[in-house]
Amino acid sequence: MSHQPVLSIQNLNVEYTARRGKVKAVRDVSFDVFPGETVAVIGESGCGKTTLALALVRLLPRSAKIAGGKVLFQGGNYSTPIDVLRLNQSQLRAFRWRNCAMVFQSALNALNPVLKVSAQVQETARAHGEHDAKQIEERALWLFQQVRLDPRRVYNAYPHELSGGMRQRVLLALGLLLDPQVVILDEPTTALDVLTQRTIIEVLKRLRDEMGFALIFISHDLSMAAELAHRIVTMYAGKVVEIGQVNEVFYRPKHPYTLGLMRAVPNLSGGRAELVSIQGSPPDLIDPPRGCPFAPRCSYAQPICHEQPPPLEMRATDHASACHFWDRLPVLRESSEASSREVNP
Amino acid sequence: MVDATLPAAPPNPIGLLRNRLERIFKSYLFRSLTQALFTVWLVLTVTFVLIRMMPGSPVDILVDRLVSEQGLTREEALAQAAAMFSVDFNAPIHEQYFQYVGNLLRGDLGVSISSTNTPVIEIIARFLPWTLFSVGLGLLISFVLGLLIGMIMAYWRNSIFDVALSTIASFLSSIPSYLLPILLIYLIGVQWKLLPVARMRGTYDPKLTPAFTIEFIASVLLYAALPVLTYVLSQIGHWALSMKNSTLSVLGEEYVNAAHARGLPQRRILIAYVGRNASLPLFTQLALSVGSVVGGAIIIELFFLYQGIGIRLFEAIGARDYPLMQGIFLMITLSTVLANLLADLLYSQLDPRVRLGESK
Amino acid sequence: MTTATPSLAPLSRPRSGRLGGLWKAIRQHPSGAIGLFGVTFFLLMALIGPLIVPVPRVNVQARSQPPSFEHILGTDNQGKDIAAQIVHGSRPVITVAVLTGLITTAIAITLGALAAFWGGLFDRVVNSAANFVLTIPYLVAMTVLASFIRLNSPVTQALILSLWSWPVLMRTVRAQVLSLREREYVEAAVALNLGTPHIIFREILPNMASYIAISMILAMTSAIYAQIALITLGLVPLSDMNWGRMIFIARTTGAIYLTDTVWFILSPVMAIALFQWSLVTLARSIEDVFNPRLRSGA
Repeated sequence: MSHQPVLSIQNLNVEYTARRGKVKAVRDVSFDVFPGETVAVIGESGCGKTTLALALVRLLPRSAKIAGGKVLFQGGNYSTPIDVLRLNQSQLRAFRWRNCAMVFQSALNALNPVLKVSAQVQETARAHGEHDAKQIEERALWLFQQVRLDPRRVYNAYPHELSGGMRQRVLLALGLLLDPQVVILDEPTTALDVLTQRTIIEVLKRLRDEMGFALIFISHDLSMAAELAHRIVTMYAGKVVEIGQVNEVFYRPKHPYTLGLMRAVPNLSGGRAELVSIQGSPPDLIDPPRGCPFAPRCSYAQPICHEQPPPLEMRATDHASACHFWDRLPVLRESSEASSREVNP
Repeated sequence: MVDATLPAAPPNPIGLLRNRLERIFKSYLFRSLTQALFTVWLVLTVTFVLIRMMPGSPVDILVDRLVSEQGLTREEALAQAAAMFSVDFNAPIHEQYFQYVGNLLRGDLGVSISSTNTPVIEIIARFLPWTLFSVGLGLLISFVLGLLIGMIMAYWRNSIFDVALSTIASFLSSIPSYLLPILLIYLIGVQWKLLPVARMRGTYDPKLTPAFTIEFIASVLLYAALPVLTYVLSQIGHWALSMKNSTLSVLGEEYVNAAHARGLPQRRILIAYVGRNASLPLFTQLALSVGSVVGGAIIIELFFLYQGIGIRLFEAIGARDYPLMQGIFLMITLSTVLANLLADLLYSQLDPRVRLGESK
Repeated sequence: MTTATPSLAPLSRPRSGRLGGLWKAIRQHPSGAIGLFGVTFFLLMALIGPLIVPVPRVNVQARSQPPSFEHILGTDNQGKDIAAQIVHGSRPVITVAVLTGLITTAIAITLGALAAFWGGLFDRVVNSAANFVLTIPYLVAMTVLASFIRLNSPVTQALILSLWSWPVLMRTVRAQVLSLREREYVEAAVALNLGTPHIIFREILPNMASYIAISMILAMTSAIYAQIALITLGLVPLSDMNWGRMIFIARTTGAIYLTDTVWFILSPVMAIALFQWSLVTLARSIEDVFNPRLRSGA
């Protein structure tokens, strides 16, 4: 891993305008993503994950506004960092997909139903100045092969002729068409059956290692995060509450919310611990609580938690959390040497 | 793991043939065609029943009239009526029916009573094209403009532009189309005096002879301007509002967002993504609206004295010219059925899901 | 796309009295309120207007007058008050419209519900008939029918008009019944063997009351459309005063080419347009209120 981050998110804030006021959906989020690295952003639905992802490529809905911060990108044709949030429309258009591809949550509807896959491949390439149709086709066919699709058939098909899993992989292949430096996946496997999920995870791992793109994926599926990610970012109420190496975070969580998330997930390798769901619901983001946003739901909470927001600080090597009582949390497993496959969230 | 291709076709040729036949029968085209044929047949039969079987049927009325007015015997009168409808009314009823259908299929619609024994088909051939031309042009213009306005309204939703146009559109689409000529004649002809409305009767300047000259075409367009404007005004509100709703729902679709994410140019997204998908459901409505526009044309032509089939139908009704009435009714229905079929085909060409799938 | 919809606490609504509720409904659906007001206005005009407003009389001293305090819409070329003609002319038009709405709804519900419940041949026949009716130009069929059948009573007119306006509602009813049939409470009713009429009238129809109301209103608009058309063409025996008759007179006497008859022509046209618009607007708002899923807006 190089020392220059390919994507550096700095103090990003996003607000939605609602009738009752401004909803602060993403608050002061900062983290770096390095070339070739995979970062998983986890959290309950409504914690701001998807908003964050959309903000990175500036695809937020009209009601949302970026209220501050920077998204610095360096790589590909940009040898010095540029702020994605300051790109003009045509630069932005070029940045999307060529530098940063985003694969959407509902892949079922992410392809235009009236155009053949081939047409959508070609138009994407053309939009970025690639006019050699033959070469594009070869590249697309190769990518379809890589994501384990029948290349010829899929290339000449209409989206509705493909199954959900196939469409998801078409989208993934399409995402890699221009060899982007960053790929963002939003809940890439939610709508899929377990077998297809496995295929996608396998394909992602291999392609990531072969092609060397940085991967940011948004998920509430912790086992997938454990399997794919190098680093974990936990978001709660629009804030990053914990960030660190995958094994660090999963074995020695330093934030009760991450711990709660892990306890709420069924254990794949046999249910040793019982399932505990997190009591309560996330706070109102129009008028967020003064102290720690998680305090009302937290079993470790003390009076100070309701008063003072805990800063996001380093608690161990490459492991930061925003909790006043991070050292009171249990250690789930001592060894961090075990392979991530056996992570027991 | 490679996904299987299409289920392998059975190797034996009979299975292959059956497969293909099955596909044809289930295809959109086939179903549209049978539906159209069925409708035409039903209309034929209903008109036959109306002219022949109803109490006080046109044939009886005609025979009575011939007997009392021209002093013919019942037999002579019936023979003359038979000549006019080109059906032998002495034959058994099922034979009359087959004769009638057979004649119709050969284009023999009988002769007009009121316009001195001219074949009905001739009258239709002379006047129907004008109606189809003006209605078709009006529908086309309103559809295209409505789509554009609807899209703009959706993109600028809740702007003053959208609110104002929505109000106008909903008002326009609730006025019965045939009342618009009154407003147009009053405003354009009487108040603003933009066009010599009272003199503009017919389909082109009577001093000209039909030819491919600019003068003649200009005259045709000028004379059609008001009827066409009426069709446009009566339809455009409906198209704009439908397109607005359709566009709004398409704008919420994931593929539009995904297209932005792929860095496609705005114009491409507007046309191939939003426009094309949003207009799809409107094509089925287009088929249905042909009938209602043609219906309104009867009265609209009457107000403008535009010499199309509508005026002829009105005159035929006034003169109790049943062969002509029946012929016009059949041809108008046939035209709408054909227009429906055309719109269906167009739709199936535009939406691959319909083209291949079994149903929408 | 779920753009992390931030947790919105359930909107606490301030409690308000019944009047407050009405005011709120009006504020949230201003166009619906206007539509409702318009429809009520015209219904009252037809119902009690003729009792209040005196029958317009010929008055040669006051021919073709512009609007004044005495004649708010002016007078026609015989000196008859136009506003009074509009009031008296509303009753026949609206009677036929309401009757058509009722008959259409009855036909559509019966056919649609039975087609969905019985299925099979009946379903196919009803559907083909609907397709047939939808394909044939409505007005053309009406004019041709009007030349065969004498349309002298409002009931015959309504019956003939209904003959052409049931298919759309029928299809909706059929589709709704088909989908509601699947739901548990109907399955329970079927299991309890409560009988088809009971299931349709007690379990299914109340669930689609708003659809039915909308369709009835739309049937009324198409009835007005066709009815005025037939009168304008002179195909319906002309009775006394009637909006359509005013237009018929305007057309046949060439009054549309004159300037001083503008109020006589525009009054019925605007009355029809406003009534139609009120009906359509009301129908749209009912749809908005009861079926917000279809509401426009992202």
